[in-house]
Amino acid sequence: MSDAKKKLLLIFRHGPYGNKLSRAGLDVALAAAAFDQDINTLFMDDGVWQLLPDQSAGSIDSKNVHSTLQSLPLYDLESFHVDSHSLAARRLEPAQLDGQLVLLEPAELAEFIDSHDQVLSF
Amino acid sequence: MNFSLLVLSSPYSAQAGDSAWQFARAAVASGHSVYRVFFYHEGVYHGSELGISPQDEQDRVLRWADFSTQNNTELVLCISSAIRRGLLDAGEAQRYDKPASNVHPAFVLSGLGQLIDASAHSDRLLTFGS
Repeated sequence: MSDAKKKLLLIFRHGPYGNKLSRAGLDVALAAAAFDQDINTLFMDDGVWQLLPDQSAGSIDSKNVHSTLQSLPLYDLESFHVDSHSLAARRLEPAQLDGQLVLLEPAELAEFIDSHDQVLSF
Repeated sequence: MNFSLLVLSSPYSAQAGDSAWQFARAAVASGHSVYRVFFYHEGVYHGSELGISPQDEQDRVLRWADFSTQNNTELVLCISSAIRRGLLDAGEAQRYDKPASNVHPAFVLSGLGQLIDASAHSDRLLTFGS
């Protein structure tokens, strides 16, 4: 492992269940945090559903994505960036979501993404 | 420029693996290098030595293996993605008492740390298949 520390952005674009990419991306977030990388997350498109609390994942034999998200602040990943347009398109209000949110307008997205060294998409 | 690639989808259900290979080839042809390809999630199926391609299709496994040899690029299968999908090398087959192994020797099984390391060692890390 190199000492080089990069600023990573993990973009989550899929819903928490149905497609297990959400879980795969979270595992990368946890690994990156364990290796002391500087990480941000961005939830957009159906990825915003991951931030809804009270997910009953056990009833579909899945692990709870939201519970894992709640553990990220333990790794100094305290806020979740959210595409406000993706929320509005799904009639979700920020107050319905859990965690410390930073809402980004569509016009702000490009600059935000560009401020990172590496961008991974799940 | 030095690239690493993250491949998330299986070779036979999506275009992404082919796009990754085309990108890697074009990058090298343009004088760049590809440090590592990390196969994660469904992408680990790229490492199965037992798949048989129809004669009128390119062998997706062998062409990555050839690319790796020719360009000194590491091919890494995420170990947790791989073993749950039945992609085992000899060591994992022995560890879990399974009757066979099937990972092509051009690929190594390793952890997510190799993806973070690829990020640290590369100018760009590109995602294919999300």
